Amino acid sequence: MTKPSRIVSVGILSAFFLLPAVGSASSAAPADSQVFMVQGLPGESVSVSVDGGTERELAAGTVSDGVTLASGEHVLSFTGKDTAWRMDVDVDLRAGGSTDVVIHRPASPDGDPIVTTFENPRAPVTSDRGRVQVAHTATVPPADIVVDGDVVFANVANGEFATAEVPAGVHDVSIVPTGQTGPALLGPVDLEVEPATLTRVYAIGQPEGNSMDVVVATLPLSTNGSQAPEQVNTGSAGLVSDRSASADSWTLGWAAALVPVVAGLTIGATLLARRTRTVVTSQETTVGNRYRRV
Amino acid sequence: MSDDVPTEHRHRGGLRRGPLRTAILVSAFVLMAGVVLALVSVQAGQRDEPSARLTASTDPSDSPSSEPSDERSSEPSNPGPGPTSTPTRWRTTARPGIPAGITSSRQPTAIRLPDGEEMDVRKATTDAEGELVVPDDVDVAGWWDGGARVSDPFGTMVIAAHVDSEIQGLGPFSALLSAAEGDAVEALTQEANQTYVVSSVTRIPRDSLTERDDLFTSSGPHQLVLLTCAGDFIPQQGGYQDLAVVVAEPLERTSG
Repeated sequence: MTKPSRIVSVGILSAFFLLPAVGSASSAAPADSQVFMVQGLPGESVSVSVDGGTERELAAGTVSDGVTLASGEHVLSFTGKDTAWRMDVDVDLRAGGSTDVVIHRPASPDGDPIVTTFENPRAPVTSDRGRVQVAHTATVPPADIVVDGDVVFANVANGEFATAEVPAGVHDVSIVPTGQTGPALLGPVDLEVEPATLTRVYAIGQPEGNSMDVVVATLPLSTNGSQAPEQVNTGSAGLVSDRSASADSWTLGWAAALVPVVAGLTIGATLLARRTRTVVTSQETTVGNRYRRV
Repeated sequence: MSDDVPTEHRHRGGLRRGPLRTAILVSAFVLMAGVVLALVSVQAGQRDEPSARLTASTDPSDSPSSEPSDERSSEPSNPGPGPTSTPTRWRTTARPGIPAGITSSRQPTAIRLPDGEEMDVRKATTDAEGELVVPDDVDVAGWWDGGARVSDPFGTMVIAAHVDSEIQGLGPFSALLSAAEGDAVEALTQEANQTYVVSSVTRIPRDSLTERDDLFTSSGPHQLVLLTCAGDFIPQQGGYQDLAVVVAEPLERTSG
């Protein structure tokens, strides 16, 4: 296996947002929703404003801090600074949800920027696992995602994502054209998966211009599941036992040993009794009362 | 117009009615009309100019806030890939990411054994004494909640059930004692099912389970591990002395 060429650092954050006040940011009410902006346009200067609020820059290849908004409809306005364009994007946020809003290019190299949303799955994992959610937001055709040498997700196209729970630790990750073993469109990279953590991975950029990159950010997860068992007791009637199920095997063993002994004694006594009887009969008339019948 | 004009009007010095006056009035009117028209056209020109500047400009200091706030200069629909037309401003709706493959919880809800018998599967937890609490009902299997789920990429998924009970007699898992390599076991979930193919059938002493980390691991290739009691049944020594261990590998899905 090719040694990974670089370590991807997790969680590059930038762009603090000042919002029009929507409740308290420190204690989000259940009706609120959390949003992260992901700038998936390598080398491009982009800024964003929420509902006409203050504009803030989004550095290319980064994920913003979480923004708490009321659930429901909002308008995110993205502005391209290099080739001036402006995109007003309607989003509808689920109450209690956590969403990554990603601005990226489609599969076609000359396509205009598009915005795709990805829900962050916050369900618990076991304490020795992490959840990884990988999204294809790059200007490449459908791809396979290879983890530790195996294709874990196949045929993922631009705008699609896949999720898996994997053991915590460092995993070798690469993205290849679907159905092929190489050359890698991205990677291989070392992806550190922390336990009880959701790791979001966005493939961005395009091969032309050598801008393929991966954006990584994490969120904490709660844990569930129990420890490995030391005992499994799954049977109480003895019906499939290798020996007889109705008798105690200790008694059975002794009984089995005693049977020939008892039988031998019984046969011997019977034979002995018969021999004595015959002798007495034959001697009885001659000797008189000297011998007793047995 | 009357010729009968009072003397006072003449002395005020107003224009005399006549051709000259008419000419001046008409000229003034035309001049004013021209000015008004010029003003209107300049106004329109100013409205157009900022958008033209935006299209042509590569100056990053041009701020969108300098635009009139009611400016809408391009088509409102979702732009497709357009090599020659880059809209300057457009409105669109964020599209939701599409799941590629199964992405939600895949806890097994039922299992189909090689002989075709199907039984329910419920969550099973390891208690404080380290015992896996398997459902008492021989017809219901327990899935260890610390293990893998159906079709996870790594780790063992452990399902155990009683081989028998005094009340119910033999359970469906007793059929596993005669399982063979190549037998199919199907794990059913709310989303999709996964077939596993038996790769080994072994017996281990029941008290050796603590040495078998490999049966309860989150690492390594994904496997199904089925457990049930077997071997000699010795009541004074806790009943069954062995565990039957059936390991099965996930069958590759052929659909893309």
